[in-house]
Amino acid sequence: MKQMIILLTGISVGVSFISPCVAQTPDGPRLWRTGTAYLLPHGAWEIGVFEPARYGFRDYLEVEAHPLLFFVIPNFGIKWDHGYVGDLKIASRHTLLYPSILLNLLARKGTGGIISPEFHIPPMVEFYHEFLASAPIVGSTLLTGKVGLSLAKRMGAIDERSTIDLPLVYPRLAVFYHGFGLRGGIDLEGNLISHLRFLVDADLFFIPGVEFGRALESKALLYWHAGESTRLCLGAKVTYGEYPFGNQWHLLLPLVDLQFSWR
Amino acid sequence: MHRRLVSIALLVLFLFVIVFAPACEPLVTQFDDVEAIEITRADQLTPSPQSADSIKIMTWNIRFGIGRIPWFGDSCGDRVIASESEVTSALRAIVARINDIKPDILILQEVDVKSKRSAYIDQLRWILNNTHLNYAAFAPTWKSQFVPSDGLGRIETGNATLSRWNILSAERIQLPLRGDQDALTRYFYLRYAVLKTRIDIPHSPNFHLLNVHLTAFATDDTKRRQVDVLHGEISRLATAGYPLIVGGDFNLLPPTSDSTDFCFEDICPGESFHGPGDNPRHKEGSNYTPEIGWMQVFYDTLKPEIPLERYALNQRRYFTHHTRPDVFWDRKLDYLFTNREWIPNSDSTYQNGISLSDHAAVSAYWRVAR
Repeated sequence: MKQMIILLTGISVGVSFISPCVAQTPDGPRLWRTGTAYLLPHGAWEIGVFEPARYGFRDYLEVEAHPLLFFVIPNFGIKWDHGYVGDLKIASRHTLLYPSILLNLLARKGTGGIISPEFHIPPMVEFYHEFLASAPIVGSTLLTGKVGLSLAKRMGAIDERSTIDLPLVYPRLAVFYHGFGLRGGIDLEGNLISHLRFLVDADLFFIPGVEFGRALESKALLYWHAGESTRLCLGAKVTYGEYPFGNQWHLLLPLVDLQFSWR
Repeated sequence: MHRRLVSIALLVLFLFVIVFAPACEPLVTQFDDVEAIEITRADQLTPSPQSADSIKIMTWNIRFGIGRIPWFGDSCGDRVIASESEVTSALRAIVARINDIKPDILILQEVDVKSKRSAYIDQLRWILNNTHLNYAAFAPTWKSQFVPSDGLGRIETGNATLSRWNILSAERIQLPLRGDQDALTRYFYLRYAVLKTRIDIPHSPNFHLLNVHLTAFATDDTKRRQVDVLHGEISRLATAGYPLIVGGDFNLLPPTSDSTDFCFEDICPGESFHGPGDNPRHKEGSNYTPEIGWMQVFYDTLKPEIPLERYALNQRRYFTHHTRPDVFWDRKLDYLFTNREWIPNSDSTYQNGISLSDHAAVSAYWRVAR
């Protein structure tokens, strides 16, 4: 049972890194705006099976946390509305992540041992700060640009052999081995037909001056809105990254999630 | 406008799959029954003899180039991931031993080429570029992008055959998978194989070599079924009249061995075997009693580098394996056979290499079949 919990937790973390179901409706109800500079309206909730829960705490402030993972990977974030600059909607996002509990759970003997048990992961925390700028380009199609700085603080030594050399995971945990990293990205999303939306994006992870410090991720998703409060997404993600074993492409599919919202 | 956007979005999705899918490896590589293998050559070639009456063949399981680190999987250890300096140090010692022995053809097992446990060092390339050997073929026996157990992570290891002369062709022959594992474990587990090569040695254009690694830990008849597949291939080549050498880590004892149960030699702290209520009764991979006759078929149909009669006179002299570096070798698992002739008494078992691997290398001179 414990193995199963650890395995499911690991899978959930892995899939949540994918953040597959982000879509935006700038001209519609103020929901489904996860990856954009738009915030949830005051009092609104959004949650997905693999997505963090988000809550419109104020019209200018959104809070987020992943409730299922919170006890093994404490996390919390806010998104702050900075208004408009011309046609550009501007927001910033600030998150805090403490992965050590989960990583030490994964450093185990036998099935589910993702990290060798000979390594101990010290307490460490990541502060991620990101600026987002969104603008409508054609009809309801929204373009969002992002740039972010990740800072990590570690309370103890970490062995470089304890890395998890997998797509999505390695680029996100690399910051804990090097102290800081940069991220940037671009999202394009909009309506296809009634009840069907799309998202195409690209994200770059970069740690300057470090071997194996670059990764590129890109995904394409389709969202089917089953109603105002439920949507299903399906898609694929391609990654190209530098790993300790070399550079490699990965195709990850299908990406699937079920998301809900309410006020 | 919407129709155009739909088209663009679907095109992008389509390109995602079509363009990138072929570039992506499966999580675990599974193999066809027989697959062709590419030949690798050293960065700089060393001149090879154009004529030879005999050639020196050597087999060695190099334990993925980690020396005698107390690895969790085979020696009651607690180590999983070796450091780069540990691996390079072990590889230097292995290469030094190879250069001392100077085989004309070297058959290796447990050679890592891209494994987290051995610091992702390409050991085949390392050995090829630091010895007099010019060509190599590599047949993976375990290739997974990620093994989610014990922190193993990425694994690519296998059998490698290296030669001074050109390797004309190479094939990977799949051996039966373990039958005593659940489906999930078996999916991520080793896929033992035979590496078949045809090598362009002087005067013997159809010379074939089979590099063998049989399962170490199966507790059912998997090893028997692997022996059957191997023997079938030997029979095909022998029937065709080809000169043939078969060598490697068979994980089986000679049929006349005095000791056949090594549960207590291999026991780890906290384990108990042979007692009432012990389950399993025997340590996995340490009890050879039920399979003691399975090597007989090779002794019956081929010529061993060490005849059974000589082995029986002084078994200890020919032991090639143990699980603990603090005791002497205690069993023979590594062999060379041919369907032609060995130079009499030309064999060597390199028992002074205890710090290099958990297997001792074995070599012998083979009389070139003209």
